[in-house]
This record gives sequence, C-alpha cells and structure tokens, in this order.
Amino acid sequence: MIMLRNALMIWLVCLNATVALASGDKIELNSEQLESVLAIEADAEFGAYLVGECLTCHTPTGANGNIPQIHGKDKIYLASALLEYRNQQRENDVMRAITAALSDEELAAIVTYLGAQ
Amino acid sequence: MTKLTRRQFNKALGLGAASLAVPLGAIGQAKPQVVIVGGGAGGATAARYLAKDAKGAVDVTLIENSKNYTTCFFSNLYLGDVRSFDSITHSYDKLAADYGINVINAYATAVDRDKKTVTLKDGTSIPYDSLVIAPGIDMVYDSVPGYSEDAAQIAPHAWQGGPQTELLKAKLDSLENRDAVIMVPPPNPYRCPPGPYERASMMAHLFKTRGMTDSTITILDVKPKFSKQGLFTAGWEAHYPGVIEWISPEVHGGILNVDATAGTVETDLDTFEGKLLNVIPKQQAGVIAQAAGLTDDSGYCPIDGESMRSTIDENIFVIGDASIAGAMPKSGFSANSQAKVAAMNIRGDLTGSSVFPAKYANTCWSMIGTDDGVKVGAQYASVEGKIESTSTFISTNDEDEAMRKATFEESLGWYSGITSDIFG
Repeated sequence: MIMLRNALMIWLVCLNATVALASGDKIELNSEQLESVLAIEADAEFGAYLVGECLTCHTPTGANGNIPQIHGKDKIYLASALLEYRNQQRENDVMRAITAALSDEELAAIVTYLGAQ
Repeated sequence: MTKLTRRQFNKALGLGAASLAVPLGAIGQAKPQVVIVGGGAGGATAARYLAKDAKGAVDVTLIENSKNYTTCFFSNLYLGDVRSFDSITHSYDKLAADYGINVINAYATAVDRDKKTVTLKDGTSIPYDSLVIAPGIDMVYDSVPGYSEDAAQIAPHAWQGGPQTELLKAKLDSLENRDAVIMVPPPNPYRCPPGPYERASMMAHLFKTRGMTDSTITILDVKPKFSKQGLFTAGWEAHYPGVIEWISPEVHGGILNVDATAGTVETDLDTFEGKLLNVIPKQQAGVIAQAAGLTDDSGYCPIDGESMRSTIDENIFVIGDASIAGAMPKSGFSANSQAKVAAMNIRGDLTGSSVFPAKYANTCWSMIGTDDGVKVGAQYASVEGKIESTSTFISTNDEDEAMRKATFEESLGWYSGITSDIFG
C-alpha cells in the first residue's frame, strides 16, 4: 500500500508537472533521478551523521526564521528538494553548495533519516 | 615493538560496534573518560554530540573558565545595537542537566600527555582516555609594536567574546560626533576573516543611527586584501559614504607603533589619531595547546583532516580556531562542524562505533547594513589528511535588495540554530 502510494506520488509530481512549494518556488522534477535516489537502501546511522551538518541551521523543533523545517518531512518531498538544489534548479547558494558535495547514497541516507524523525 | 593504538588493538580483537562488553577506561573508572578543554563553539559541540550519541557509554567532562559563553560571532551586531548582549550569551546549564555532561567552571593550565591528565589552576588533576583541546585563540600582543595586554584595556581587541566585547561597546557608546575610530586588523591566519570589516560596518551603522554624521573609521590594514572586499567596499559606499576608509599596508607602509593612551597609530606614511583604537593583533592557538606541546611553528595545532586527531598525540583531538584545518577558515561554524567529526572518531576509538568519512562545512555571514547581508562559504573533505574545499559560494554585488535581506535573515536563523546545536 505504501509502495503504491509512493509510486503514485512520484508519478504525479513528475508528470511534466511543477510542484508549488511552501516558499512559492516552482520546480520541475526529474523522475528518474528521484526514483534512483529513493531506491537506494539507506544506512540510518550514516544518515544521522550527515544530518548533523544540517542541524547547524535547521532546528529539529521546527522552522527557524526563513530556514524551513526538514525533520519529519515526507521523504519524497525532501529528496525532490535536495535534487533540485543539486541540479541548480532551485535557489539558495548554501543549499546548492551543500548538495553539490552529496552523492546519491548520501542523499538517500539523509532523507531516510529525516523522514523518520 | 610498535606501540598499538587503541583502534588497532580493537581491530585486532575483531571488536565491532556491539561487542565491547567492558569499555577500556582510565584507571579506577568504569567508563572511558573524555575531557574537553574549552567550552566554545568547538568544545561545547563536541561535548554535546559525544554525550548525545554515546548514550552513556562514555563520561564527558567539559572544562571552561567562563561561567557563560558570549559568542564572538554576532558580537559585531551587539556593537552596532542590532543585538543585545544577553541574546549572544549562553549558559552551560542545559549541557549539564540534559546531557549529563560534567561542566567544570575552571581554567585548565596544563596537560600531562604521559599520565593522560589535565591540570586545573587549583592543582586538580583530571584523567582522560581521549582529550579534546578547543581553547580558541590567544593574542600575540607584541606582534603590534606598542600593544600589550594592559593596553587592551584602553584599546580593546574584543576578539574574544565576553569582557572585551563589553569594554569595546562601552567605549563606542561614549563616543561623540566627530570622534574617530582607528582599527588595526590582524594578519592571516586569524579568527573570522570578514570579522573586522563587519565590525567597521556595524560601527558605521551605529554612528548613522545616532546622527554622528562626522565620525569616521580608518582601517590601517596589515593585509593588501581581505575577505569579501568587493562586497564590503560597495556596501560601505552605499550605506556609509565617506565614513569608512580602508588603507592598504602598501599605502601606509607598515604599523610602527601604537600608543593606546595617546590614541595614536604611527605608520611609515603618517601618524593617525583616534578617540578609540580597536587593535586586533596576530593570534595563536589558546596557550594550553602550546603548553601541551601540540603546536608547530605557526602557533597552531597540526591535525589529521580525516578525524581532527592531533598528528602529535593520537589520544588528543584539536578542533576550532586552535587547529590547522587546511582550507577551512577559523570560525564558529567551522569549529561546530569539526567538533562533530572529532566526536564521531572519539566514539569510534572508545566504543567501537561506526566512523564515516569526514565532511565539513562553513558559511560566514556578514551584516553590512540594515537588511543587507552577504555570505561566503564552502563544503570540505579530507584529501590525504589535508582539508580541501569541494564546493564554494560567495555573494555578488549584482544581487538585489530582496536577496540581501533574505541573506541577512538567513543569518539570524543560522545563529539561532547553531547556538541550539552547541548549547542544547
């Protein structure tokens, strides 16, 4: 049931569609990239370590000024956002630089860990 | 016979994450002891992450001389009346109460690396299995001719958060229109590369808000260029035309003498006079690092970029400003980032937990004026023990007002986030 829901969500968001995010940004998603990252079996401990860096700005308790909440967010949403930053399709210099240095495995670990919080 | 490190010993026994039934500890202790000297952005983060992630498998002691911690980062905003002193000062209460960290409010004077003990000013000896040295910086006062620790009471450097910050603020607040400030920034490498120039911006901001239209700031630099120079220069012209003058050493010819009492800075070109002198001298690792034999000729501590472990003593990690961290600048952000890598490696040493490849980050935000923030930063990784940048960014002069405002607001979120991350 969860797999079906996820597949449907990926299909819907990637069907030449744009997703309006809370910030008002509109992004185009690449379904192959997204599915590829989500298919990776992620190491939760590795995810916890990597997310340590995120905690410098993203507080676990919620949004922090104009720095959005990431803990407990939907895994697909998080993966989409990070991929968009890495693709230079979404604005923010800090996030673009951070994601430029992340491999698919690292992305998968991060979104798995955060999605479970 | 080669002396085995604990890690090699554990590997030889085939010990994995869950198999250490009796953790190796200091004599007489049931658990491994981690001692951290210095409770700043590096030390306090290391303490919190160790206590949080080891889940009781190690004892963590944090030794810090100050009762509370005033961050040097954002202290310029306090000088400019943008933030209060209280808002940049943090307690150790949560680290003690919520994380079970043994916080000792004392000054650590020495390290006996053979006995593996840290000595406090009152003579108390604290044993360790792993030691984190995070003492920040100390000033090399006589690097500026005529300057001294005594002179810093008249001409504050305010390059360490706390009493010096308050002293500089009091002196700034006592200035009247037409009074001039002379700033002497430090030579590379130093804590917070854009810091002196953000400070000049905040002083000018203060003058502006107080209607001190004839007061000026003259920066007699010892470096021919500085961090984010293009951004600051354009920002000063936009926000404070005619207020801040930056003079290159190639123009003034070098600092010959500073007379704090007379308020003069003599250079080869001319003698400059100001009501307030802000002299920021050359820096070195906090003195305990030298006392412990962990520094090299640079005055800072060499480390293995893969772990922040001292290359001089395998049981000691040096993080933050005191370390030689390759491409990373000396900043609170860097210290917090390095602390997490060190903590992970210490847990690996002492409990056999997983150790992942080191990843580091830094962003330096600077406030130029109201709703005008700029930033510079990078991601880093260790390449054969040296920390190198893997991706970088910097603000540009063609950004619009909305972007600069968003960058400034981002810095507010960062400050709130990082101080929670450091102090709990």
